[in-house]
Amino acid sequence: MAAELALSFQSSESRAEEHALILAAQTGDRAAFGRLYERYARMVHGIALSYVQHSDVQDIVQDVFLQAMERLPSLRLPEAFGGWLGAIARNTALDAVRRRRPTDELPHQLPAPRSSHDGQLDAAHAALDKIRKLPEAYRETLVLRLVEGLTGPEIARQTGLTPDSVRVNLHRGMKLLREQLREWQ
Amino acid sequence: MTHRHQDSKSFENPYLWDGSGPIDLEVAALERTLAPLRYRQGKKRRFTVGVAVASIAAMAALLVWFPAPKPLSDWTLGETAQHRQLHSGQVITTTNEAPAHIHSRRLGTLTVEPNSSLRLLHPDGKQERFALDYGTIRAFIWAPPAQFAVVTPSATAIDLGCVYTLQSDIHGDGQLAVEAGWVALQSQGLESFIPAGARCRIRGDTGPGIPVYDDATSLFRERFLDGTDLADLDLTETLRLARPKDALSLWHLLPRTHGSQRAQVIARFSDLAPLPSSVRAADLLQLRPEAMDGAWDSLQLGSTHSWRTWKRPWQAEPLAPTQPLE
Repeated sequence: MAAELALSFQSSESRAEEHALILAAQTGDRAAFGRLYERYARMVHGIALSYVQHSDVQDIVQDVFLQAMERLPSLRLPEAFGGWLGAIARNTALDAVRRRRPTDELPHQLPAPRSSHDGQLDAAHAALDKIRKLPEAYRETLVLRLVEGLTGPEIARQTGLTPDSVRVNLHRGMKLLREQLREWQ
Repeated sequence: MTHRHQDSKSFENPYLWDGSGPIDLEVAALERTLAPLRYRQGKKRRFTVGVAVASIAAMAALLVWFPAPKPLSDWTLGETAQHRQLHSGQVITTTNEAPAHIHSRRLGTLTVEPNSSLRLLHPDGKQERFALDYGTIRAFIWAPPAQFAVVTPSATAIDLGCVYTLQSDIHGDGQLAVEAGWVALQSQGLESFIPAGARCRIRGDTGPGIPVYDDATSLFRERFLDGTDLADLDLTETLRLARPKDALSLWHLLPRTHGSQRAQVIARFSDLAPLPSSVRAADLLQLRPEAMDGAWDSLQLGSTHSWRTWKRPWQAEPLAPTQPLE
């Protein structure tokens, strides 16, 4: 109980600090914006990775934060920042998917000298492809948990979803993913 | 019923929820498999030539040259498991296959576009500096104004808080386009200040050119972006094409003109952006710093806090026209 109270206190303190960062960034404090970048880059990266090729993700992360910097003054509620940023990331990634012509698609396995690192990347891409076949809500939450290493509470805090929604997405998504992996093997 | 039972049971998986409790082997295996795709930033570790060689082999589109071991910087190259911390003197050269990404938690991110070469220089005091030997970079900088600069063969681009794209060939001919914030270009005693939505030509022989807004008329833009010598400029026609917003370009023409032509620019400038009573045309004709500042204020470009913060230290230095029209 004491641990829960301490966690709750720490969480509200962190939220207050984050609100201060957002308000400062809205008035042009770029150091504050840089801190927000650090805090949310993993979430933006994870959402983008749920839709586009890994090689395109970093460009999208940069585009998302550029858009966020331009639009931040119009954000009314600091507590909505995570969900707002996530929506920008999702829309930017989906725009990139729509813009990409089929002829631009490159296979993950290019004919090149193979190394053990290539093998690891191939396996990672194959596993990611399985996650990408899941419904959108499960897909994003699982990428944030399994690829980006965010915990359930962190996902909830950053995306603005309720902890219960994250819990359901994680467990139902994982259940579907286990079934896909069994068929694959 | 079965479905509900399975959901309820899986809700009791603390490892999936927050990594606590007994390890779920399937989840842990997925975490391990997917780890190479994870976002990474600013991880501190020693950089060795051995690691560098492995990095070169792994990244076909990227060559990194190591002249000698140097102190590590805040900058890291790449964002996956292959990311490497850079040191001053290091050169990042991209082929035509892929861009490279450089990141600093403290300063910002850079995209080195294909067919480009970027060198990390020794910091100059508090200022972090790169040299763009050729090619294109896109910078998204959150460092305080004037703490990040990119040197090209013809001019130095000093960040005043912004997002911009800088392109230069090996002779220093190129262009700077600003998407957000401000960038200052500086060379040979000339300065150009480029706000969001504007771009500026740079030339190997004459340094920073005249900034023009992207929404200016095409005839006005071409006069400053197509590489024509300012000496060949039809000044009367150019001034006629200027809108009130284009007074920004005219302000930059002042130190690049002389005598009667400068007077002509001042007359048109004051039509488009009425000068405050404290600014005398005679002082502007002599490029007195306080008159130049007053004229700048009449542009009403919103907050110039960043610019002034950076400008103040060199305000007393004389402006040095290097490319007179006469």
